[in-house]
Amino acid sequence: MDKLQIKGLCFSYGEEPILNNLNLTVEKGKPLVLLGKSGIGKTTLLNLILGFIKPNSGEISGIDETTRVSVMYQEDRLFPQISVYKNLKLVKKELNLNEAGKLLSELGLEKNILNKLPGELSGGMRRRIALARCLIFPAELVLMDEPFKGLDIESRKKCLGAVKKYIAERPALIISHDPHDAEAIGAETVRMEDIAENR
Amino acid sequence: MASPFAVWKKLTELVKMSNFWLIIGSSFFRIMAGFLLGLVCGIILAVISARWKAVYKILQLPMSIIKATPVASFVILALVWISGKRLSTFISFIMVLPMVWSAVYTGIACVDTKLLETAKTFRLSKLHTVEAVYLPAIMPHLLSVSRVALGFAWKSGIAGEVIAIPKNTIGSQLHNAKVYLNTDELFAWTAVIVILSVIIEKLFNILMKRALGRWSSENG
Repeated sequence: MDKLQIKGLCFSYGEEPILNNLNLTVEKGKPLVLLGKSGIGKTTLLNLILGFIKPNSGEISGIDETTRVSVMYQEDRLFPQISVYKNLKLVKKELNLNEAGKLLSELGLEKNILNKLPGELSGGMRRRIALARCLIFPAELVLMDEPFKGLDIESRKKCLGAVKKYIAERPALIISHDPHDAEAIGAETVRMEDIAENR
Repeated sequence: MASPFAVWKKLTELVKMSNFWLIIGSSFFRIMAGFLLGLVCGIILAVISARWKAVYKILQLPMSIIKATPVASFVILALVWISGKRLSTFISFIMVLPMVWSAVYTGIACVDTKLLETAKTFRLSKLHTVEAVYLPAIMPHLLSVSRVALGFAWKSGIAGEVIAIPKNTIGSQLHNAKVYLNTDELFAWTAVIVILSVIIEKLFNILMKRALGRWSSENG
């Protein structure tokens, strides 16, 4: 998959319009960071792309049920009763302990947390495990919703580097509140207000 | 009324009886068979009910009726079709079934839909989805109801034996003691039932903790 294209997308919750005539193209090699104030419909857009909700009108092309999408949700959404290692291995069967350890150290995490349950980790650690899960998934498209939320400066720096490497090979749309993230991962920025009409 | 000393004396006599362990084993295995059968069928029916709402609607009323019906009524009704020997198995089964069905169904209904979405997104197999998403939702409900159901199966199974009087069972011994007004024996067998009930519960807890510790509600 080389391109995700959204044309004239409209969506409303009941009577309340959320997205109005949204147009966006996400291409391989041109990652996008989507900026916009809270409640403007950024997460709704991700849910529409993933097909969890249906638009009132408009078209989303380049993605179907067979497309492998690596998604980082706003919440960590780690599977709570299985170890960190198993959480990672579920999305990549071939992953071994060495690879997993290497990946964790790339994100500033210790190898010894692999046997722990997500609930035994801090919020920042869980966020990075959720990111690690995305980074090992052999995806054709990347969608991330505030992937660096709650990370300290040092961890954030490491994660930005890892994400930059990963998104270079596939179309990527990343939601963020920080324009500096785009610069750090070599992405263009686009403001929600500029791709959709005012509600 | 028998004194505690007389009950204790009778209890020691009972333990020395040649068929004491046969009686215990006979009741224990029959009741446990019913418990396990109820557990397995309850889980299967709950999964089917969660998958097809029509099945849930069909089963909802009979399960409520079973829950509300007194054990004695079941025993008397079941005796028409089932032999006394198999009755305790059937009674414990019928008591456990609706409890497990209801608990597992509730567990499935409580599944975190966001985790389900995640499993779908990352292309988890059905087996892995069950392990990662469904079991964490179901197991706390199943474990807590299993403890209660075990006690229930044991008590109702014995009650069934008291009415059906199958040979060489705890229930029939209780019945005989009552008929011949052997109150010391009546209390001694009651003590045996209580002790066994406590032992079974402890063993069950240990077994569950070892096998399924991570699912227990204490672990969240």
